Amino acid sequence: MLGTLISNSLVLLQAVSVIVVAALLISRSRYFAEVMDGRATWKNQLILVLFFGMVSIYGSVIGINVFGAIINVRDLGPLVGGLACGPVVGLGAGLIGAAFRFSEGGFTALACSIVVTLAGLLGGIVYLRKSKFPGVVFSVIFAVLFELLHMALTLAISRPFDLARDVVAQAIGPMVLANGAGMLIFAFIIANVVTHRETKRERDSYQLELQIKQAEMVVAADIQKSFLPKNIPSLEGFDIAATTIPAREVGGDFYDFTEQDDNLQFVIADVSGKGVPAALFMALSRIIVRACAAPQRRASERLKCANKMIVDDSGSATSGMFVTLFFAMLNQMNRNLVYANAGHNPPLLFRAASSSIVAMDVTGVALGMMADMEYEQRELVLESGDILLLYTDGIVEAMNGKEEFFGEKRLRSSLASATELSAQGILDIILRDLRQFTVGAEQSDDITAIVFKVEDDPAAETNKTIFE
Amino acid sequence: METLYHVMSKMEIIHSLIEDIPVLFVSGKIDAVTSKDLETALIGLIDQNKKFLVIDMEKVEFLSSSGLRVLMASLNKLKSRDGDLLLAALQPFVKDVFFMTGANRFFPIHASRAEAIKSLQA
Repeated sequence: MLGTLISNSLVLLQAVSVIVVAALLISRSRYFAEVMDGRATWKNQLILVLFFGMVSIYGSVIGINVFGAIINVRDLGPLVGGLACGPVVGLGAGLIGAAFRFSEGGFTALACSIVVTLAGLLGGIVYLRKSKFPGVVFSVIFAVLFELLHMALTLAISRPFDLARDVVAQAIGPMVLANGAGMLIFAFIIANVVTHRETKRERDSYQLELQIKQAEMVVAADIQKSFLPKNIPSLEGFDIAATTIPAREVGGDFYDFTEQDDNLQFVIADVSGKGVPAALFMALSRIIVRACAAPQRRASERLKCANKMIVDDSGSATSGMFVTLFFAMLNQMNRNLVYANAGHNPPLLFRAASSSIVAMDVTGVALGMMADMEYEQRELVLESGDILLLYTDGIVEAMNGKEEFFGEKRLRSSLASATELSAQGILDIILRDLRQFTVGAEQSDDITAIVFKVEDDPAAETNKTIFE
Repeated sequence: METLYHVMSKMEIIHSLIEDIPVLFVSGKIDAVTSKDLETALIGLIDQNKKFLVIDMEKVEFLSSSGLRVLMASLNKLKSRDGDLLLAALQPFVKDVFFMTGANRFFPIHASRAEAIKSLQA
């Protein structure tokens, strides 16, 4: 008795194995995916009806004849079809299974045909109520309960009753086990497909979002580039070069040139942080510094005005955002330079006469830190051959693989080694030295620099000749 | 020593109470990435209605402008409720950042943690 039970169960489990392979194939198919995604059409449902119907027929064919009744896994196909794909697929597959079973005959033919139709229908109803695949545990319990119902219906419908009772006694163990195990594996595969598709959907929408963001950043970067001077102004007696290299698409560094009468006004600035927040604050700061230009306004007053506007209008007190900014006015005629420096890295000034490099002053607090700040200004006269180097901390705080900073000392050396070159040449040397220093390391901050080189004064040259 | 935050081992924050005053021991680099964790730690304390905080910066070797922004934001928040953010034991690089930007004018800066705590008890 026990031996028969075990061998019957094993035969059914073999059938289940074949069904599982088929399940694996159908679960990876386009039709299954479409129905799982809620895109059921007549075509894909028909294909699934045929598939699960075939599974049901196979479950009958492989069955073991016990007193003319067949112990089988016929119900599995319609059950799964109904649970995973809805009532149309379930019922369709059930009817196919029923038609086949009925044609086979035997005293349980009617009961079994009704039961297999019911399997697809009940599975489909569960699907409708849950409006999705109900999960592994639920499906297995459902299959086991359904097989018990199957047995009860066989007893209720099939006659003679004594024979039906004997068949049920033989079949109940193997059929519950085989259908339960089959459902377990089927449900695992389907749950896997469901999870896989959800993950894919999430990934797809995430990627789409990322693409939109990237496209926006490209536009933002273009807009920010348009904030930078299109051309470096040509100022008689001066050779000028400038560059800015953001660490990300957009950045918080900027420089600006404006011409007013004989004066060239220029700005180099660095907003705290980097990326989008810094870029927004950069756009605001740049326009505020321009808005504070009034005729006869001193450099110091210009910064005081800008600081007030930034503190008042940007919410910098809450965000803690600030911008270090160096502002200067250069008179083209007498080479007089007036500057004010709101907490920015002191620009370096190479004096040709003494071949020495001096750092300029900081004359006030970074803009946006605190209301009502006062700023001082300084004044100096540039001479032939002098070089003014303005830069942001992205240069001196650039790190190499050993976590050492490029530092002001190296920047001074670069400048000192390039004093004979043009402004662009000097800038290139500095950037080259920086690249060589940081080789391999990722650029961590925005990098900006402006170089002014004072050309030989033709008038002074003429005077010299005359006096000689 | 209550809480420990680790961020890619670049910065570490240890939070402790010394004589009832919350002290953050920060070490490593406060840059664009790690400053977010410093901000979280500071906001956490400020949200607990702490008025006076001390940051021991003896082991901070680098402070970027992002880091200074976080400190400024917390300072302003604390000052708006009559509190303050005290800084102690600034190393040369960090000190340079404060003095260059002028931020040193707004923070009470003390030579040591003990001194900072003492100033709150006076």
